[in-house]
Amino acid sequence: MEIYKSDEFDPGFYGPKKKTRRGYFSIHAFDFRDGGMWDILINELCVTDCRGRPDALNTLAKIVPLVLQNPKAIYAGIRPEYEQDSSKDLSYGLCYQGFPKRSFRGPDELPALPGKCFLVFINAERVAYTWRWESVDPLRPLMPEYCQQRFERKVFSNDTIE
Amino acid sequence: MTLSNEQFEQLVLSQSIVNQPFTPFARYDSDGDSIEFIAKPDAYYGRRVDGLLTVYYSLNDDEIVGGLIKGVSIVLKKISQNFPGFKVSVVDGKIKLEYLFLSNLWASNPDQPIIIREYKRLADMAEETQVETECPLAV
Repeated sequence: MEIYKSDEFDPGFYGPKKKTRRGYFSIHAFDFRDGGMWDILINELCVTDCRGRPDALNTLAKIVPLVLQNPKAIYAGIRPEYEQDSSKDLSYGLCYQGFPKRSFRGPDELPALPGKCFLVFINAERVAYTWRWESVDPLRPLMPEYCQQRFERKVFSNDTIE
Repeated sequence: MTLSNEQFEQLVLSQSIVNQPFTPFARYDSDGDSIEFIAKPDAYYGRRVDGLLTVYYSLNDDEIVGGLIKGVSIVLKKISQNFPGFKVSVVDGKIKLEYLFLSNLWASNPDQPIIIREYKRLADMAEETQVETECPLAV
């Protein structure tokens, strides 16, 4: 397990571990600052978005917490597309990457998808706002595609997770 | 209160919405300054097309099922500065989703045909499904 540090990145920015907000679920996630757990928020409307999509509902209920609590790697800093967008919101955005052992297709549970990893994107206020399966980098199969173009830095990796 | 995994799972799965019929939708998410568009109910994987667009492809047949547009408020601000008349497309705080895909395409001006193709496919899909979304643009 390795935690990467940088002078340009202040982990204290994220504040206390506890986090609650009306209209949001609060669940545990791995805190890369000390190896413990901190809270991540998920908008309750995300459940409504799963209407008529059992795989989406199961993914939210079972896969998202698993990846948040057992990430293979955590990346910080979502690179902006435009200069105007180079805010702290993006610099402190996080992406948790995991390799869950199962996936969902319709109502069915299936083994993990080969060649894919699962990503959960979190903003600077520690709200998880989107998550999905993505292909891994064909040359570096432990990393998501276009990793270096997308993220400013890796802040955590766990080599004990396959 | 922080939910345990069991509490979270129960709470999410207890919603009866999964038995409701699927309808295509798009939702602006201020937390991510992004719009997610889901046109088909298939399970999917995402592929980043450029810094603004991720396309969702079906795990069943690799067809497009939707996508995610990022940096929505920045793009809209840029577009409305360059083309003030763009604001007439916003009606009651809502905008047709195909306009968003096309305006993103114009703003990013990609040179790779594959990027243009994916934007256009999503715009066509949005037009077919007649999906509108909240527009984070002060009119």
